[in-house]
Amino acid sequence: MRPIVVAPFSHSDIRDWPAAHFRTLIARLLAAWDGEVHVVGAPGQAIRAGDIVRPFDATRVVNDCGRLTWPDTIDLIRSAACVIGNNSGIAHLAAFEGVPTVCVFGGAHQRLEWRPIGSHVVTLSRAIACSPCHLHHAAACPYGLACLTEIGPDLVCDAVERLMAGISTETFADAA
Amino acid sequence: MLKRFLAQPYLDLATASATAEGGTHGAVYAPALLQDEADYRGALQRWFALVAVGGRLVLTVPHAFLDARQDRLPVPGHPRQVRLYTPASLLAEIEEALAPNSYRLRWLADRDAGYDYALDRATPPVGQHDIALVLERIAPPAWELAPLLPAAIPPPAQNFEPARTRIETMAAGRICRILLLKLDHLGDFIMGVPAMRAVRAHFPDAHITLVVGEWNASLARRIGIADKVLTFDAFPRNTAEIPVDIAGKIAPFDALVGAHYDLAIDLRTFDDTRVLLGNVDAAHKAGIGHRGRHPFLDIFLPIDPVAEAVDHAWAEDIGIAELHVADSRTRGPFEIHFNGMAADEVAQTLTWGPYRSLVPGEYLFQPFVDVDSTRAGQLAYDIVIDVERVAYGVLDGGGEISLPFDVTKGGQFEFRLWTVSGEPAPAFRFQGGRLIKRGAGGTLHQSETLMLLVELTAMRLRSANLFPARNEAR
Repeated sequence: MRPIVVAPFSHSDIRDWPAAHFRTLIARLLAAWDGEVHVVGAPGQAIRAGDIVRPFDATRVVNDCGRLTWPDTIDLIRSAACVIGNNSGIAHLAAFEGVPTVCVFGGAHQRLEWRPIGSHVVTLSRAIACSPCHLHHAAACPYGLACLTEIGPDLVCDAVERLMAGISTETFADAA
Repeated sequence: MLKRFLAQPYLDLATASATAEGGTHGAVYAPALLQDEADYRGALQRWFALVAVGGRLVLTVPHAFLDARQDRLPVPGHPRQVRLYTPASLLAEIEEALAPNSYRLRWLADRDAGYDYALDRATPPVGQHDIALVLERIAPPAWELAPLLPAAIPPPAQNFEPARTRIETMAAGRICRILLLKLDHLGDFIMGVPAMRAVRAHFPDAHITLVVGEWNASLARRIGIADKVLTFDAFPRNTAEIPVDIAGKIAPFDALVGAHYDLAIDLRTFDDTRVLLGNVDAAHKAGIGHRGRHPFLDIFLPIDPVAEAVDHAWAEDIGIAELHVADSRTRGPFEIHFNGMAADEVAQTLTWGPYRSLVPGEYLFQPFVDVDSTRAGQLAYDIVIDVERVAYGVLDGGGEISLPFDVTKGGQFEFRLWTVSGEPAPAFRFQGGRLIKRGAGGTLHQSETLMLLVELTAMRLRSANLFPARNEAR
């Protein structure tokens, strides 16, 4: 069975969906689905990846963070049933490769400019007046990263399941 | 060494019952067990939970380089073994499985006492051939590792959209029937040929209906991009002699193009024909302009196709808020209003600023100043870059004023208005000005603008296959 790949990190923490949300999402995915979840990231993100995978059976949730070469990462992305990421490179790579992709897009940037593109990509973003703020550090956000924390894991899980099932989603208001 | 950590009574997991009580043991020993546990996280967490705070978890695993003496599974004679270990891989599993600051690492070692390195790989190893690791359980501190975020305040509300999570994707368009409008005169039609050819290239299998002015019909057929050419004179052939009434021709246009289309594109850069798309039965409608003005457009290239200032590399309006005045009573909310002044032997500065940093180049400053020419007097100006005056003159009356100047080394731009010594100063009103840098303004040719529209349309509608070469190669 093809794995689901989770890429929880960017190199700008204001774009990162909270680790607790990723844990809840993975728990829901494991309950609804029989395959493996692979968590990917750079070597410097391995400690935070441990925080996400720790509660889960190692035979179902594989921690590949910092352990794959770039070619191996690309191969894993290509093999995925779905890739879940933030506004960062892995989501764009998955979209580029034509892999079903769910992108949890923070408010730091304008989604219409920077989202991964493709009809096989679903982007979740929060309608919030402070966006885009163009900040780089989560600590600089006075609103507790509301643009990401208020995107619930259930919505993301639903988006993953709908995308993998081929169920259509609302199209971007300004983009055919 | 390992015996030192197991000197007190300990729970040996190789022989202990599965119901051992958690958090009570001073030492727990897991000898050569972990390599057989598929769920290493769960195993480590269960074993660690048995240890009391201050107690130790002692682990051994076979060393990949001393026991199996190979770099991959399976291990002959050990079919249950699911992983090979080095000290680093063992420690990585520990760090992944156990919460940070719930333990301290007290010992990690390759154990090879008595190991006979002279034996070949086919002979079972002699001597110690494992890795030992000792953890001490500690009481976790109250603090977290995650960055401290400031106390959050509620985010502001959206003006145009209720607070919600958007879940969006791009539509996958299957484009079988295309309606192309190119209703201009001959020259504009020819400038649109590259864009029309690009439509054909992007949608090679689509049926394309091209609507052109009657005067372009034969040329439209000759370029061969359309399966069907219709003629419709949105404009008179000679617009200088006969008034244009596009809005009055919507009904006959609708009757002409009547069928359903997957995509309709208006390839006129001016937006006066866009209204014809309004009633077209098309899944997607594309054109240049904004949806605020043409709400039926699904795909729009939001640029102004008519360049007004092709030689302006950059322009900036400077308001009076950035300017200084000698007499604060002259400053109003929207302008500096000076009532005139009797002659003085010494020239006086009336306004100055804005101290804008400029890079080298040719510039133009257009002050929005209106001098009352009905009253006697002279008003002088100068332009200063840092402390060097680069332009000086006397303003006489109204009209558009353009003051060219060069900046050779870069510096702070300042525009000043002066009285002239020995002359009365006239009344004037000053509303700031426009600072312009000369250079290429990035103007697009009409054919380039149309190509951008076609490429944008193709990207939006072929988004499921944006990188076809890559996908096809797989």
